[in-house]
Amino acid sequence: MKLSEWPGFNELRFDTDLKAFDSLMSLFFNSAERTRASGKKVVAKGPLSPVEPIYAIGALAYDPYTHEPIVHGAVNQKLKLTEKAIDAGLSSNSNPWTLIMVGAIVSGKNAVPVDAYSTTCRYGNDQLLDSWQIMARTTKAPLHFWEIPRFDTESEKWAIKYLVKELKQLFEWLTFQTGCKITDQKLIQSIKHSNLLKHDLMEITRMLQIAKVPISALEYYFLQAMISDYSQDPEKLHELYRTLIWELKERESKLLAAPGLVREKPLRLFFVGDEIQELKLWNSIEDYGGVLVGCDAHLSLYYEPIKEDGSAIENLARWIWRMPCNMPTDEMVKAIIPFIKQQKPDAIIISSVVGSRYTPEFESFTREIIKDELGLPVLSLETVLPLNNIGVIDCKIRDFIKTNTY
Amino acid sequence: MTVEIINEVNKNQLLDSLKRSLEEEPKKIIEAKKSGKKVIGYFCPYVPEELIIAAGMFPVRLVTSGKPGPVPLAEDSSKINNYPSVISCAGEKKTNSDFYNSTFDAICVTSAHCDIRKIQEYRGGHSNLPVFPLGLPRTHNRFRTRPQATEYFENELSLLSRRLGEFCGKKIGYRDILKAMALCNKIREKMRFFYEYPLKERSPIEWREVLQITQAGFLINRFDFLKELEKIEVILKQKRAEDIPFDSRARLMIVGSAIATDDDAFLDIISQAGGNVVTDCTCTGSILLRKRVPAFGIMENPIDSLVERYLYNFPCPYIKDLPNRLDRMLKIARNYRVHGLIYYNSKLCDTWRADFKNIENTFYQELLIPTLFIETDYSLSDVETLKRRVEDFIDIIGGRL
Repeated sequence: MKLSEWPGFNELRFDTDLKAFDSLMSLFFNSAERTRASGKKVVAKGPLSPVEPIYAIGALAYDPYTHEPIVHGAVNQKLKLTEKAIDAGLSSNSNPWTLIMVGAIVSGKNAVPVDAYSTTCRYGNDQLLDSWQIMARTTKAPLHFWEIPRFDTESEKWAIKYLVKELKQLFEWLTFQTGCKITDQKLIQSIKHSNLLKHDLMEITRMLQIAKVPISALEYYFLQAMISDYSQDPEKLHELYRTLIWELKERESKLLAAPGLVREKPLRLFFVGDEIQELKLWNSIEDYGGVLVGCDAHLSLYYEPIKEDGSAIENLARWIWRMPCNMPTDEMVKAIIPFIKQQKPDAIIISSVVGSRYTPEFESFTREIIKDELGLPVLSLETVLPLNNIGVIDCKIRDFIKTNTY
Repeated sequence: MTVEIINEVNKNQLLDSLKRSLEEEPKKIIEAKKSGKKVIGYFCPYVPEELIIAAGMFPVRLVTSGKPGPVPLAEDSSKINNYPSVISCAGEKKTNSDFYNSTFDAICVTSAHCDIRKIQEYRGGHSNLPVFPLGLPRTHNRFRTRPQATEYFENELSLLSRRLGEFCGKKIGYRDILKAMALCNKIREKMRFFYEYPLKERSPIEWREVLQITQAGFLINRFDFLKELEKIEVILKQKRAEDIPFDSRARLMIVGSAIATDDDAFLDIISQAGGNVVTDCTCTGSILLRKRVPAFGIMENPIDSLVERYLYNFPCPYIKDLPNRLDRMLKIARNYRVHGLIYYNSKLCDTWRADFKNIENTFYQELLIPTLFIETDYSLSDVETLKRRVEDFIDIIGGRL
């Protein structure tokens, strides 16, 4: 089935010249068959919860928060699943991503079957934890939370120690669930695989820094989304990323921009905040003369590689502790600003999803820091379920790009 | 506003002296601040006020919100989908409409609620107020299968103690902490005693009055507060059970989000509908009072006692130890012979929301206690609907009895 034949995709413009992207999307959509065929246990984890321990034990990581809403919400437009989530105990004021994910899982319509649930308790993601509790309880699956302590430079010493012990207990739990034992060697191997993927995404993101951006916003968004759980196949994903990088480098060498770009000098936009289900947004950016030069939705997973020398568990703990998503908002924004600067944006888009507890509550605070630090114009977007916002978003994007294009 | 509420509830002059003390408190704080004393505001009951007292500062628990007015005022910087108590506090701070919300010199927060974390950022970012965060583990449990949580929290408390000491220019010693712990434990002992009165149908004091006392205790200097409690205790002990009429109203338990001092609309609705709240599991009520933790001997590190008291007390739903929480709730409901459960959820309080189904089912399966779910903010737009629902619920409970 061609991408444009899916109900939610028929109005989207894909870059059909990128052959590897088609294969990547197939990898995304055929997760269910692959996981069943592998015979491995599937562990559901939160969108920014690191996957290295899960792959190290020989299980498959699955991010239902990213996958289920894209499959059921954005692609198949089964928005009634939100009602199932409310019946299961979630508040109707929850983030629509969470509602679709929980709705799909509690009604047994999840795209990928899940054997166990485990995610991080990090600073300020109560809604996600509650949804994990509800999903595990409803499906009678085992659940394990592990904690990332509050980020504070003065508490680093004991915070890392704490995190290492939390990781060790996670390994014990995973061993119990899968029957496989984790070893240092396996963890190092998993870290190495994950670093390869991190490097791939860093390389693709670096290509967005150049004047002729070789990849469109929609494609870049999907590449990012897939790093959340490595699409249950880190090796295959790495192989496809490499093929794609090769195709993009071809374009780069020929000074070719992605096909959707309408202007010679488009307005360079960096996207910050909550992920958005209104996928048409990515096309709109290009339709009105903009180009996406970066997105921080999954940046925390690849902003730097994990150190490979020394104690694997300590390196992993240190890397997790420094993930920008685990920091308080002001520190997080300050931590990602160097990455934003590298991408040379002309303007910033801050996205908030109504009901999310991540960006919306202090979107104005985030906006102020970004304005102070970068001095760039900022557009705030607020969305709910797919297809409910596109009219407003379209106008906002058009006016914003028009105002800021000289 | 708090004084007015006490006035309304206080029909038997039991709380007269407390009311006067509460009225005089702002003046006392202003005077103390002139002489160099500092006031520390805090949001979450997991902040050990013993450390603030040990540093020679005034702790003020910031639950003095609950009014619908300040909410829109905070919306330019804080979205409407924030926890109502948080935006109400932010609005009050902005307009200086509440003395306590505008008097503190620094704030102390835990990560126990994501919106409380946002308050840290809001206050720190917008008001340039010093903010002292406290890391609170959430995966530990009563079986202590995660001993790392104890060690981590101990270190966090020591860091907080050091930071508070630096802020007030005093090194906080073990003796200071032990003294503060002794004071706080005395207060808790008295409060525990008051909360146990409604165990009987002939109680000289209602749960709601005890809640008002608790809430006053968040604001009044703790030394003065203890004296007030002693006065109330004397009056209560003089009352004879035979002189008190038998209370045959439906006995209710409130479980859920923090009840702010001015968030009294739904409590009024319950009283007017003929319900009698006898106990609670809310963090502004009695839950954290239930555990007795002595200050360990002079040679011990008092931080250990604080860890025991705060980390292994009745778990807030932020701490993912639901079985422990459920056991304790059931025990309380059984002891207080509760007929119905009111599950009070502040709008957008995800922390409590997720446990609702579990708690509702367990209460019904174990004790045949039905539950009424109330989700509200401070807008007062749903008062009529709530009223009808509460009345129907109490009618059903009454019928069942």
